[in-house]
Order: sequence, then C-alpha cells, then structure tokens
Amino acid sequence: MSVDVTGVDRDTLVRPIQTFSKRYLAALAVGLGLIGVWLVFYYQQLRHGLIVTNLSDWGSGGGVPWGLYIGAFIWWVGIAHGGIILSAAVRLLGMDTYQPVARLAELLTIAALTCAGLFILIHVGRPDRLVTSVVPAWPTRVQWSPLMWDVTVITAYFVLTATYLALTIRYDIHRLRDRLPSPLDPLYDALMVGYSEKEDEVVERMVWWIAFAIIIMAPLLLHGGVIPWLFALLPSMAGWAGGVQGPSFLSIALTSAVSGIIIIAAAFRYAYGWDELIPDAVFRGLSQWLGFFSLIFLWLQLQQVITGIFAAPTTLQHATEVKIATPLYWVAIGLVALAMLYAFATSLRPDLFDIRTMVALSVGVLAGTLAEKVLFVVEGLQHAHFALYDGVPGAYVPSPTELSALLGTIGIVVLFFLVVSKVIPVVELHAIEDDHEEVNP
Amino acid sequence: MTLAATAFASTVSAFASTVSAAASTALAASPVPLASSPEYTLPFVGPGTYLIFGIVLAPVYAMVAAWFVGDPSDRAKGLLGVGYLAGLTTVLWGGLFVATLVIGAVFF
Amino acid sequence: MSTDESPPPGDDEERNRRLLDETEYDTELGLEMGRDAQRVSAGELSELEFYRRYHDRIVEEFDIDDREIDLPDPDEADPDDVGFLDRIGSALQGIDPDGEESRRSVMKKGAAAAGAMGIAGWGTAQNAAGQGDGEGGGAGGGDEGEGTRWGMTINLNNCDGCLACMAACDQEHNLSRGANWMYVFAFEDEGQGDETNFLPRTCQHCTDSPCTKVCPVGARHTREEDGLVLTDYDICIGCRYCEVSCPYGVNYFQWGEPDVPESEVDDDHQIDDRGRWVGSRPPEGVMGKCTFCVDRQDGQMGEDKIGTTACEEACTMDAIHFGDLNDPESPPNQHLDEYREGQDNDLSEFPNRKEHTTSTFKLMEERGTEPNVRFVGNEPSPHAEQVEGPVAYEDMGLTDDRKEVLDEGASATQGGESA
Repeated sequence: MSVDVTGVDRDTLVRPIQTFSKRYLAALAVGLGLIGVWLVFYYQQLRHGLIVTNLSDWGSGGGVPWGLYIGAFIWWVGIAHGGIILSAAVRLLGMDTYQPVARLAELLTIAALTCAGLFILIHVGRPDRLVTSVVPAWPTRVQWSPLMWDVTVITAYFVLTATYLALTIRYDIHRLRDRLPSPLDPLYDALMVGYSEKEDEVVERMVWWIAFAIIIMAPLLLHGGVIPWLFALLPSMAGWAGGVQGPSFLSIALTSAVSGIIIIAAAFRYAYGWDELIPDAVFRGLSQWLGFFSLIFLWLQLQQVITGIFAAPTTLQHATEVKIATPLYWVAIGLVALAMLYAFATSLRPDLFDIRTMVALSVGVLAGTLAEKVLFVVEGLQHAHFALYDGVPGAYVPSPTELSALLGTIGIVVLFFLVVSKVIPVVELHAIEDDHEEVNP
Repeated sequence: MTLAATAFASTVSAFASTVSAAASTALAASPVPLASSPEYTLPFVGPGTYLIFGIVLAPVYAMVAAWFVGDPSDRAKGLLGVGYLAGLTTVLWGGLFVATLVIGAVFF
Repeated sequence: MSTDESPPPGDDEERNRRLLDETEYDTELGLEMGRDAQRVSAGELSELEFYRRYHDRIVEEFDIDDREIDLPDPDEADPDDVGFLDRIGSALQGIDPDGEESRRSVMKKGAAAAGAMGIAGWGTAQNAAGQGDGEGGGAGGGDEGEGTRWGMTINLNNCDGCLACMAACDQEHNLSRGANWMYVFAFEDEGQGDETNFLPRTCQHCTDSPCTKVCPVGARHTREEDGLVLTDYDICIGCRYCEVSCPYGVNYFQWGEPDVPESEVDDDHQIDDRGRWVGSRPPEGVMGKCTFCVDRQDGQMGEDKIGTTACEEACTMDAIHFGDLNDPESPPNQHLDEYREGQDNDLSEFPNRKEHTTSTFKLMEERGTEPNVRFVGNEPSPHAEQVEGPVAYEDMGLTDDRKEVLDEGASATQGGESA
C-alpha cells in the first residue's frame, strides 16, 4: 500500500526551517515552561534530597523506594523503540509508506532516550557520582549488575541511533544546502566532513547494517531483555520475577512507540500543512500497527493475570488479586483496548478513520502504558515474598516533584523537536525523490 | 576455587572413608557462595560477560565488520562510522560528567 | 542419579569415577588417592608416605597442597587416627575457601568413618545430623585457616520484645528516625492463638547476597576478611537497586539530611580497617543498613568490643549471640550447642531422628542467599501477621513507619505540598 509522495517539492520539505510563526513561539514557550516547572522542583530535590518525593523504604519503612521515576524511565525507553522500527520497516523491509515519518521517529528515539537517561539522573540519590562511580566500576560490575547492563545497552542504542542519523543526514544536507540557514554553516560543515557523492552508496549500506544491528538489539535485547531483566531476575518480588516480563515489556514498548510516532507525525503535519508529505495512508498504516501491538499487549496481560490467579503461589496470587482490584490498572487496559478496537474498526470501515481521533487515542495509550509501568514497579514492591511487615509498602502517590519531572521530560521532547526541525530536514529527501538505489547487502 | 574443586575434594574424601555416593553427591551439590568469593571480583566471570558482550552486542560486531568488508564498502567511511560511535559515546559520557561536576559543586 | 539404597561394593569405584569425571580435575588422581587413603586408614600405608606420594601431583593439579599434615614419624603413624581423615577431608576441601559448611560435614564424616571403618550407616547418620545447618557440631576441632565469618544465632524463644536492641542500635549508629537497622517484629501466627512471637531482624549478611550482585558500582560489597556485607558510602550512587533486590527489606536509604550531623560522628565509627567509609549512619543520598557493628569488629571501640554488637550487648534476655561462625567455640555456635544439648531427641528407639528437638531456621533459606543469621524457634509462616508488641516502638523513642517522618520532611521543604 505504498503511497507516492515523490511529487512534493523540496520547499515543502524544508518548510519548518524557512518559516517562523507565532504558533512556533507558543509551542516553544510551552516546552520551556514545562522544563521550567520541573527545574524549580528539581532544584528543591537537589537541595533537600529525595525526601521531597513521596518515595520511602519498603519493609518497615512503609513506602516504595522505586516509583514514578523508574516507571517513567521504562516508559521513555519504550517510546524510544519507535525510531528504529520505522526506519527498519523502510530500509530493511522496503515499506516505503513510512519513509516520510522515519526520521521523525529516529529523532523521537534520541529525545526519548535522553529523557530516560535523565530519569536515572533524577532517580539516584547522588547524581554527582553518576560518572565517577559508574565508569571505574564498569569493567567488573557489568559482569553482574542488571542496572549496569542497562547503562551499557542504552548507551549503545543511543550512539547507534545518533550515528545512523548523522550518516543519513549527509545526503540531505548536501542536496538542500542552499535552502538551509547560513548562520549554521559551521555546523553543516562539521556534519559534512569528507563528503562526496560517491559515498552515498557506501553509506546507504552502512546504515542498512546499523538498522539491522539495532532491529535485533532494540526489541529483542533491550526492551525484551535488559530492561525487563531489571525486575524479572529478582525472585524476592512475586509480581516481578519470571520470563513473561520480556515479551510483556516489549509489547508495551511497541505500543507506546507507535503511539508516540503518531502524535509527533500528526503534530508536524498539522503545523506545516504537510497533508501531501505525510498522507493519510501513513496514519492508517500506523494505526493498524498500533492495533496489532495493542492486541499482543493485552494478550500478555491476560497471560499474567490467569497464571497469577488460577493456582499461583500465595504471594503471586495475592499480587495478582491486588492488581486486578486496582481501578487504575483497568483504566490502563481500557485505554489500550480502546485504541485497538478503533484501529480494527477503521480497517473494516475505512471511512470511520480520523487522524484527530487516532491522536487522541494515542495519547490515551501513552497514558495507559505509563500507568501500567508505574503500577508494575510499585505493586511489584508491594508483594515481597517476605510479607511479615505490616502491610508495607503503604499507598504511594507520586509527589508534585515527581510529576513535574514527567512534565519536564515532555517539555524536553517538545523543545528538542522545535529546535531540530529548524536545523535539519526532519523528513528524508528520499521520501520525495525516489532516486536512492535499492541496497543489497 | 570452584564448584568442580569442591566436588573433586568431597568426592575423594568421601571415597576415602567409604562413604556412600549419595552423600558425596549431596556435598557436590551444596551451593557454593558466589558474591563473597574473591574470584568474583575479577572481570569476565559473571553472566554479564556472555549476555552483554556475547549476545546483546553481537549485532554491533557484525555491523562494524560489514562496514569494512563486503561490497560496496570504504575504509574511510567505515572509520567515519567508528569515529561517530566512539565520538558520540565520549560526548555522551563527557557531557554527563560535566553535568555531574556542576551538580556536585553546587549541591554536594 | 538415584542413590538412595546402598550400592553393591563394586559400584563404588564406578560411581566415584563418574563424580570425579564431572570435575575439571584429574579423575585418576582422585581415585588413586581415595584408594590409598583407605589403605592409610587400614594401616597398610603410612600417613607420611601418603603425603609424599601425592604431593607433586596435587601441586600440579591445584597449584597448592594444603593438606595440613604435620608430618609425623612414620613409625608412629596411627592408622586409627581420627584426626587424620579429618585433615585429608579438610585439606582437600580447603581448596574451596568458602566451602565451610560442606567442609565441616566432611570432617564429621571423616571422623565417623574412621571411628568404625566402612560403617554403612554413616550416610544416614550424617543426613540426620546435617539438617538445618551444618554448624555447631563442634567435633571438628579448630581449623583456623579459613578466616572469620561473622554471624548470629538469635534465639526467638528468649526474646520478649523489649526493643532494647533496636534502641541500642539506633543510638550506636546515629540512625535517623525510622531507619531501623535492627527491627523487632511482634507477630501472631496461624494455630498459635493470641500468643505473640518475636523476630529480631538485622541484615542477614548473606554469603551469597543479591544486593552485592546487583549493585552497579560495587559500593555494596562483601568484606573478604570476615564476610561482612557493607556499603561504601563514598561510592554509592543511591540507585536503591540493592534495596529492591533484598528479600528481607533491611535497607534504609538516607532520603534527606541525617538526623545526626556529620560533625557529631567520630571517624573511628565510620572508617573501617581498610580505610573505607562503611560505618555508622550513611550521609544523604546513600544507602544504609546494619553493619554488624563493623567499628567494633575492627577494634575501634576497644579490644573487648571485638566480637560483640550493640544489639547483643543490650539484650538482657540472652536472645542475640554474635560471633565467628567459623569458630566452634564462638557464642553463636556455643549457644546453639548448649541449647540443643538440653533438648536431646530419643535416639534409642528412633536412631534416624535428629539428635535434638530444637527448631532452627534461616530466613527464606530457599532463596539461596545463605544468610549468616540463624534463628532458634518457630519460623513465621506465610500467614503470620505483625501485631503490636508489649513495648511500643514510640515508647522506646523509635519510629516504626518511616514514611510518616519522610512525609513530614517533604511538606516542610515543599511549602505544605504533600500527598
């Protein structure tokens, strides 16, 4: 169902770079405002310590030591999965329909990974030691600590995606240079170091291999691997341990990643009148993928619930019973189910499809996956195998400080896109000029 | 030293005192402490070794290899790619280091 | 391998060969040594000759031959020397520096076997004696080679829930409110009516501790010299992974400024004999937990405090016994022995029963963490529920629910905003 957008001219492509509107300024203000709110709260946290959060010790302490910060960390890593999936769909599988949103998705990966990393920084008690303690310990601790595995693999994922972007951007900058802002010439010169048109073929093959490497690494090993292993390898907490966490985390990551791309793509289409550049077909396709991933997500939730209540060990049974008695859990499930039903309904009745509805449902899915992740972390701690402590952890409600960090990271993503879209074309030239060679690695 | 050594030793001494094999099996199977053993402070011993460097990063090895061999490939572009990998890693951690220095200086 | 029934004699060598084959070491060497060791026991071979015969090959195979044989005069070698087989067992077993439990069992086995060569009932007797834990037999004699392993025997039958231990710990380590490194549960259990039981819970200082495994920076570590599980306050980044990985909930993060400022804590309490900052309460942003009073163990509170803890000292009920678990004469081992001796089982009619009727346990032993705290008394069942004890935490100036304190702190620093 490839849709031809090759008729769109180059001026349309660089429209974000060449225009400047009040709406842009408003968006900038919103982004900076969100970051500002967070910084005010984060300043307090740095001054007084994590005591300003609603986190506490589990056990006799009556609270949860991991909460929204860790939940949001997983959530952002999940969203980060969208980039390479889209790029891989285009580059590895030849699904050219998604070419117009591939780079937006890659940029989302970088922004989301930055936010995930930021949540680690915010989460720890001594952020000032994050490099001085981690780097010297790396050679020995990477042998054992799942958290060190995360640090390693997320660094690798970030670097690979950024390399991918840095290599693919050369082709576009070379051909669009006359339309790019001259004050930024030093930057473009740096990005274009050693460029010649002869390299295109070689670089195209190199990025094919990057896409190949990340497509294996990202879903199977990162969100289906080291991220769930943070929890799945700990037998002390009934709701965490077990092999199902890998597939389950992956399904959540894919669901939220596609939702994220839908929202970003719709925002650019709306802001720059890109109806031709990012046609309906892209959104229809994405919504079908969202529906499919949502189905997998729900199926894996069902797996966990039924194994948890049928004849499970006491603590797991209790953990599952509490989970299914939590209204927020059902809100999360409902939001994902709603998106799935809509995606499938519009496949049957295409005239029902509406991008605005799809965007709203995607926002709902992101809210749902975030809620599910936070519940997973918190309720996991709630059902320690050693259950003698008097009903602890107690109730946990994220503090304003914690919630502000969520807003702050959303602000960072907004700001990131606003800035980057002024500097480089956020849609690949390949999308409108179908002249790149098929690569046979 | 290792589980194997324990098994060896216990087997020998079990045999020496004509102990039934059942007992020595139980001995050999008795858990060997992990975290406290000095050997585990050495690198390349934990599950992370094969998990991260053997499995998770394997596609990256393949990728870098493919940059330099196969057709079309170009040494200069391959090095540019490796330069990006190394440079971005450095920038990422270097930037974080600066940030942590600032946080450390102001708040700790 | 099903080996429940005693095998026909001819099978022994085959079986041992298979077992030895599974190790990475020389099977033939093992078999030969085994055979000759039997000859030593039978008086057909001298101990000295046995030592000489295998010395080179053992060094070649293991790099070291630490069979602690004090080279007796060959003429005087006593074939029935009980200690001799001990030494073979312990020397060989000594290859593994941490195989303490198994080694002890081997020694006891050696003694039993040498006492009456080739008694078939040996395994069964050991199976019974070896249950619960391998310690406390005290029959092995002092083998000092393996170093110290600090640990506790806590006798729940003696605890009356007075919370003196909690208060002492709180005092000694300058803990912030609610950071109860020592925590005493009062609980009621199924089938025990209204009777209240007690369980003092320290850090279990596990030999195979999950917290040291998951720590990304190596701040949480096991001190090699004595097995203490400690946190290096200079390295810890405060990620709290140790806390979520611990099955026992013994970790207390320093969420804000400590109640007792740095200026009021002596370096002696904080810096251990390796020069690492591991003692007393943690600074802000860093993880803390029971240290088994590392400052005392390092002699920094005086020689007489070595081998004691604040909680043990405060306990007037003789419930807490701290000491070196590797030393058969240490308080935790001695207490267990004495306690067991008072509760002999009837072995005249039921020789396969345990020697004593004392119930001992380690917390969640099935987790494989190998805790170094042993309890005497009834293990709380999964249905046990925490109840109010005879002495309220508040009455001792302690805080139970730390979250309440932290929430105050949050509202204080946040302008009345709290959830």
